[in-house]
Amino acid sequence: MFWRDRHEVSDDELNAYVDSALTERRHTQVEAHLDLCDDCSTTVTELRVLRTLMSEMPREPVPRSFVVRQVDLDASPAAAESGLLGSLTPMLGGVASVALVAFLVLTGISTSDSGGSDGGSPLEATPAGQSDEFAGAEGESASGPTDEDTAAPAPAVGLSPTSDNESSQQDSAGDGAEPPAEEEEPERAASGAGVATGTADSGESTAGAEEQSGSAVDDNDEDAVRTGQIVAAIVAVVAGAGAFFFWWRRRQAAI
Amino acid sequence: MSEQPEIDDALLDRIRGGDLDAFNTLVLGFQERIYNHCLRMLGSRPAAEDATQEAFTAAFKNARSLRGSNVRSWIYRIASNTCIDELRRRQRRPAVSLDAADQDDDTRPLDVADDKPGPEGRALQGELQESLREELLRLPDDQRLAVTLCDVEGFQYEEIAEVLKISVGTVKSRISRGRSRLREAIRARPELFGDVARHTSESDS
Repeated sequence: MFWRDRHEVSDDELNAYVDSALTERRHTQVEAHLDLCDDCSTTVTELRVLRTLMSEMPREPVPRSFVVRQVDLDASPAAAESGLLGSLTPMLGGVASVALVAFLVLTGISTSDSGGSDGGSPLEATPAGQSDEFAGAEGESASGPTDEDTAAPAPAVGLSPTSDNESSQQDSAGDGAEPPAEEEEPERAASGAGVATGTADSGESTAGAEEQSGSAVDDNDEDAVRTGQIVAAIVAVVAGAGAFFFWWRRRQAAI
Repeated sequence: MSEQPEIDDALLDRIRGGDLDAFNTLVLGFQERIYNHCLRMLGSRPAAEDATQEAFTAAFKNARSLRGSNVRSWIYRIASNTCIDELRRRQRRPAVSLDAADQDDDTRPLDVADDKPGPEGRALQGELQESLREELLRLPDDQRLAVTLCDVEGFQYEEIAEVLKISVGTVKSRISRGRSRLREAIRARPELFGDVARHTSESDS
């Protein structure tokens, strides 16, 4: 009987015993065990002293009143909740932003390959749909009222979407190419951008001659760029959804 | 130590309805507890002050989520989450350690205002409590939170599980591991431990 008692009481149980959190039956068993086991008896004494000291720890008076004022709520509607964002949220938001930058740059490269003589920089040649699409990919997380950390990088990534939109729409109109990617999902948009590039290639008259010399190399480059676009778009969507998920989970946990 | 502000159903309804005055009744009733809870979790007065204000503001904004009548669990849950967020922010900024946070602000010891033991016993107890307070700040965050809620705030295991949204088994384990380290701190001061143990057994009997 003794050997069973000796090994049946864990530290967790001794703590629960001191906290009166064991069932009545188990409490009696542990009590009986304490009469036989000096080690456990000493532990229980220490735990009781610890509990007493902790429960009698003095409280400090408050340094000021923490009454919530309407003016504070109006001044920073997001301040309180932004503190509830998990560490993963801004991180994933950052990943989503970087992936979108990569996607935009790659799209810009593929577009400028065909329309480089127009004088537009790669980013300026980015189809208007990309910035809309960014809003779609990030929209889930950005839709949260206080997702500042996630939403913050968006303007930097967007790179003045209004002017981009205008210039890219002008490019499309000048090339006679339709803007097929404008309202599409990222993956479709990625391939749509490829289609637009192909259309532009065949439709080019002034820039076409310059482009033809490197066409064999361009095919390989196009494949690589297209793959990059797809990967970047997928990463952006997954990271954006992840950022939203963690933001939501932490928000729920806080409630 | 466990006195609670009077909160009736009518007041709770007003709080859920977004009545700021009603909510501030709650703030006045809990602010000292919540501030001290944040202070034990964060170890720094300015940080505790910020966290307390942040927690109450967040609580008001989420007042509609206040279900049932266990206001204490609800408010501690929000305050604990606020502290955990702050601790995570610190981890992302490794230059600010817990010790540094403790040192860089007001380092005067916590006021000892307990009136149970006599003057000598009170001094000994205060000394041990100061050691404990320092050791508490060295515990892993999850263990510190569980031990503080149990031993300082007087929550039952089930309540802690509800506050932290973890299982009762996990609560037991965190408390057991946390206290194990705190016991080491007590053992390191045997001259104080003996006196306090005597005082504890006398007051138990």
